[in-house]
Amino acid sequence: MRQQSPIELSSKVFSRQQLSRELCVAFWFLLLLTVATLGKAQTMDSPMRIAAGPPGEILVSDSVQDKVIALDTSTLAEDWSFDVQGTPMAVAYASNLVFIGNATTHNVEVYRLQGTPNGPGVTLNFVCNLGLTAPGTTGTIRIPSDIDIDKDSGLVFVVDSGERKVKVFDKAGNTVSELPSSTDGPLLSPTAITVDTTRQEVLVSDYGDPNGWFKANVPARIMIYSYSGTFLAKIDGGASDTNAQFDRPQGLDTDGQGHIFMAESLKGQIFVFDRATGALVKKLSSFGNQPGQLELPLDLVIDKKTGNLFVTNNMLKRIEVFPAAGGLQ
Amino acid sequence: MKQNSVISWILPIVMVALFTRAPLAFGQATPPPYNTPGRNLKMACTYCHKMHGGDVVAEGDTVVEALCMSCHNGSYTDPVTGKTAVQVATHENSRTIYGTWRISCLGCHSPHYNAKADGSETDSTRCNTTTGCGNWMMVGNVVREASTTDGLARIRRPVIIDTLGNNKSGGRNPYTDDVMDGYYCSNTVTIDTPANSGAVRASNVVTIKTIYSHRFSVGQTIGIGGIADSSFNGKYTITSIPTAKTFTYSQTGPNATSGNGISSSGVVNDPNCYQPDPPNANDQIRKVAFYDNNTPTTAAVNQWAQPYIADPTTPGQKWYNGACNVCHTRTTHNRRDNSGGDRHNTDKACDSCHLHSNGWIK
Repeated sequence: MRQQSPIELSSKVFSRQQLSRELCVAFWFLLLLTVATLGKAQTMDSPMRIAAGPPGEILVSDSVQDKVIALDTSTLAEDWSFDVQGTPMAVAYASNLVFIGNATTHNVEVYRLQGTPNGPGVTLNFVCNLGLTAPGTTGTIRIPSDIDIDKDSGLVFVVDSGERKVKVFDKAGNTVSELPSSTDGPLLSPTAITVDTTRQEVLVSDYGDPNGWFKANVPARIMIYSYSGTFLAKIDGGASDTNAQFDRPQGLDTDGQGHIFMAESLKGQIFVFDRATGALVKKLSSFGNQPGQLELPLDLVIDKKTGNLFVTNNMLKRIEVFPAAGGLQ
Repeated sequence: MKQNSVISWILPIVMVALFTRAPLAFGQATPPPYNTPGRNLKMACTYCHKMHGGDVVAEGDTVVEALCMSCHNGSYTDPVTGKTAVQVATHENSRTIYGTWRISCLGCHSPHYNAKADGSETDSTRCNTTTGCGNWMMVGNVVREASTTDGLARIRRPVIIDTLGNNKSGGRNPYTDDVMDGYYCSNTVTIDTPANSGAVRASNVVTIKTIYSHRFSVGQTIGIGGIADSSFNGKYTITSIPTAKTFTYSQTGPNATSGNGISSSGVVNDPNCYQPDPPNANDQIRKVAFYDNNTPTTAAVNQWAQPYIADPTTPGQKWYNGACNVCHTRTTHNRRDNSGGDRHNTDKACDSCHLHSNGWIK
């Protein structure tokens, strides 16, 4: 097989029942991939970040069309879109609020979603900028590369890749804190973020400093902090296990079962790590342009209800769907 | 003693060379802007290449694109200098009659040589030995052709990637050799096999089933050749396109089923196509490179233009024009030399409206 599909058909001998189940799963997998490929791919030019939206929707930022697009999670058809005044990078959603990281204005803009999702007539009404900078003014977040939200605590975590920090706000827009809180575990070139609300942890993708011109060579890694910014652990892209090595980590998510999903943008793969051990559990997909393959995956999100994994397949201008959390179950 | 003496002065030199990662110790230096004095961007070779067959190996156009875009997507900031890599998008087409193509990063840029945007850094080893490079966009794909005597540099045709995956070889578009002209004017596609009823004649209507999307249009004259049942072969005018992979035309004859072969629109029969110059599939050098900004001439689409620009800050002389004109002096529209259709703003630099961040589209 050219790709390592979420459903691995190995050389093991299947029973008729097993085979039937596998074929059934394969059917739905192919159907989903077909939907993903055909869907509304033509409407996106540069799908970058992706986030869970209102029920039944995912939100995608398009940094070329300067839009945030809402897609139906079942069909990937476009429900609605919003024109951003500037280049949108990050996008997130919570409590009927849409958060958009705008690289042009250096703000995270907060909008209230009005109208009925999954249908026409949706509008986004500006509420505030995080950090409460005045509307229309330049903000303090140099490169708002990615956002995630703890919906329970209301904390909004923003990666400022320009300043190499995670900036924390409340949903009212007030600045709360910055991560990391000490010199332990500094961020060198952070790109994307996710929060594990179960473990109360913040996970940040970081390209590191693989050049190591002025200091020790620091491979790419996933940095893990507490909500208060204490450095807890890292998953090292320069691991001795060459199969587990990664170089350009981008979007992250967790499945609530101790697994960390990471988009390796250069290799066109999704790495799945065990949070407890840091060990590589699985790799999904492969580099290429066939259905199910990835070219420059920049972000991912797991639908917590269905377990389906959605990936922004940037160079191919489409969303790739891997059913049931990428086949872990 | 003598041997020890030699070691005593060689060893420190070797150690210093290794410690400082002097370019000569590892072959070619990392290029500007990735290793530019004063800018402090210090990318080691290993940022793109891994020794001994590692994974980050810049081979293949799409892999190189992913390599470039893994940093140039807007989210990467250099850990040492704090400079953020410029967010860019490749020039591509995914939704018009011109097919689905993408100009590879390598079509315009060389990762091993890249000048500053204002053209003030040049590579003397790749420029014209008579006229020099002056200040112009320098892309690594510029070459000097030994067989020519005009002493001017040429730019290689950009690699075009078929984003639909219809490629037949090596991840490249099957029409790469003829780039823009050939892509939509000399379209060739394989006809399905007899077993799959690639060619069916019924009631004097032939239905051709192709392996890939054919991109033909109704009224277009196409050539059919190589079909096992030779009675199908010949030139016909398409009457309908039921699907992206089927088309029909009229042909009197008995009902029959066959397949294989190819169908081609061919540049000769389509007046809308610009005649390739020359139609040489092996010619990787595009003979229309730059509009001559120093001594402009009219309708000079076939001339070998001066590749350098006197003042890169003057509209109309910025190096972006040169890159655009590699193709846009040959397309049927938007020619920089004021010929062809849809001409506009011929006195302005392309990039004054069309931005790299938006794929040069808007």
